[in-house]
Amino acid sequence: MSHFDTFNNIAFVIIMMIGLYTLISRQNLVKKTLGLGLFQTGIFLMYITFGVRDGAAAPILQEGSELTYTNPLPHVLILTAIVVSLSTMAVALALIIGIREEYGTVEADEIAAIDRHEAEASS
Amino acid sequence: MSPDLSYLAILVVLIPLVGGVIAPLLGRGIGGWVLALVTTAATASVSGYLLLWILLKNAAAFPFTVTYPLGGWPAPHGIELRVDLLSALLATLVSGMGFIITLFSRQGVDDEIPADRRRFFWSLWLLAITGLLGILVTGDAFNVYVLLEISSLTIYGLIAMGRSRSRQALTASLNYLVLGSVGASFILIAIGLLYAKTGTLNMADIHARLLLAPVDATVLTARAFLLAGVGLKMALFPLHLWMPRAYSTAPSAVAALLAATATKVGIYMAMRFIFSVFAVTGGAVLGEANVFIISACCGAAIIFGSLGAARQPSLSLLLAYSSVAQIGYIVVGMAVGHIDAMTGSILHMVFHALIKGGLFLCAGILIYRIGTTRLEDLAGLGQRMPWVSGAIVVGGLGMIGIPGTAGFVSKFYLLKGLILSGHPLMAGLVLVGSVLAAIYTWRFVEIAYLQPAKELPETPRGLPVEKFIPVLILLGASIILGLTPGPVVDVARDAALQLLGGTR
Repeated sequence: MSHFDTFNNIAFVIIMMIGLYTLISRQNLVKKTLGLGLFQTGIFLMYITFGVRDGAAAPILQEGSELTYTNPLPHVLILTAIVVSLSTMAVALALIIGIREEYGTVEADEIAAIDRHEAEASS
Repeated sequence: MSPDLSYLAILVVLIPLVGGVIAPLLGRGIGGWVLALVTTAATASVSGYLLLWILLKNAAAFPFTVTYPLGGWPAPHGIELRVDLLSALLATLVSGMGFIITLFSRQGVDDEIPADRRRFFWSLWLLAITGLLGILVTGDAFNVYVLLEISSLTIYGLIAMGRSRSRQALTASLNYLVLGSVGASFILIAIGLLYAKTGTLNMADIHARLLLAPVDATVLTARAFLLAGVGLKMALFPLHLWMPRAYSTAPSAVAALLAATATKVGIYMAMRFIFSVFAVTGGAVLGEANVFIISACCGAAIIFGSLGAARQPSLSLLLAYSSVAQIGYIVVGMAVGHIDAMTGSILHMVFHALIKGGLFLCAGILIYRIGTTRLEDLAGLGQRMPWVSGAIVVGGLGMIGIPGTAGFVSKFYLLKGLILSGHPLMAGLVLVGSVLAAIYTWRFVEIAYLQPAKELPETPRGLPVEKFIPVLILLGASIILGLTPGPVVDVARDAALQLLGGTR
């Protein structure tokens, strides 16, 4: 394990935890969504780090040379995961626009208060 | 030499995928529904055929597994589809439920979804079914994640389409999106750790390599992340908080599809990963501490889900909380890793899908006819709508597990397995849960039959035949399977046996 690996491994845990904390602690739905994005970004860094080897070459086969290659598969997987994460963010933001239209706010606690008020009024 | 039918495995995914892509191109008329109906019927036939083929092969040599290398690239380097008896059984269930609920939903979707959104509704509908079926047939761990996100993202959209009936559908959908994405990310972490450990993504290959390596912290961490992730996806107590509101605010067809199939596929993922990937030694797959924690969650799910169901103000919420309890039954049967309990668990997945699907369709009929499922508005329903309330009572009896209904058969095997594997406390909790199910079913009976009918604000619509036939099919199937359980029990038993790695 190289210094690069150690640094990355610590970094991705910190990024993930910042994201998860934002997701849990914020009432603002946009900030929650950003926290989710940050959390997923941490996972991408984790995958990328798996593919790294010290002093390895880019994974392009060269005639007659015995090079060590980095593993390209995690990068490919993460390209897919990035697309998924992007779509998730897009759906979440679309929902938040709808919530803003219906409730006039994007604060989770205010929305819960409006719903509670409505339930009391109807019963 | 019988013909090789393994290409059926890819058709199960391809047909609804193509249908889902075509759907938005159709106009605002009835085209989307017809396309969805044809597509789901074709998918259900193909999965049924695949199931029959596997049963036939199993009769000759057990166990038989269909493998199909995508693009002709052989496993473990290429992506492989891998269908065993359990996958085929659940694929038939999911696509069959998809067809029946589609049959039900033409009018309901016309009522609940604005005209310009309907073709997108049917597109999302078919893509959600694609994702769920894909998870069932794939043999590649990363594929599971991608297909899980395909089904999840489309389901978030489907739930949010309940917006025109209740704006809470939007918050319910976002809430599910946030928790569901965290769950899926946990699964992604687990798959990453497994890849780091074994260097492969093919599930059978991961399993083979884990057998050679000692179990270390990486594997245990992967398993913990995976169990937490699928726990969120299948709404296992205490990770169920997204579920009741999502079920009760989604369009009625979507609620039925979710209750009948989506959580079942979550449980399938748990089974597949625990028994086909992490299983290091035959039967004792999860350590005792794990079984204890999962059993505790299931026990709490059974008690709190049933108690919650008895306190809900509307039929939709009652059914949703009851689902929380039913998932407790299914998961505890899986966790103890005993053949009878596993049989009961697989049977309960099938039967609960039929019964709860039928009940959510009844709730859909109520929404169509009187626009509400609030229990206080259902007073005197027994006289006003004898057929629908009769169907709800029959479904309720199935959930209690009265002998003669399908619920009895699955709970019988569950109890047998729990007692034989030395978990009498959990067996007791299953019985307590049945009593609590009787309480919340009785609550409906009391309101519908013993209270005087309320004055109706407007003339209700008549009972639509095309909506009631699917209910009859589902609840009728649950009664017929309850009276003649033999063949299904044999299939479930073989599936359980194959999952636990035994031979007949």
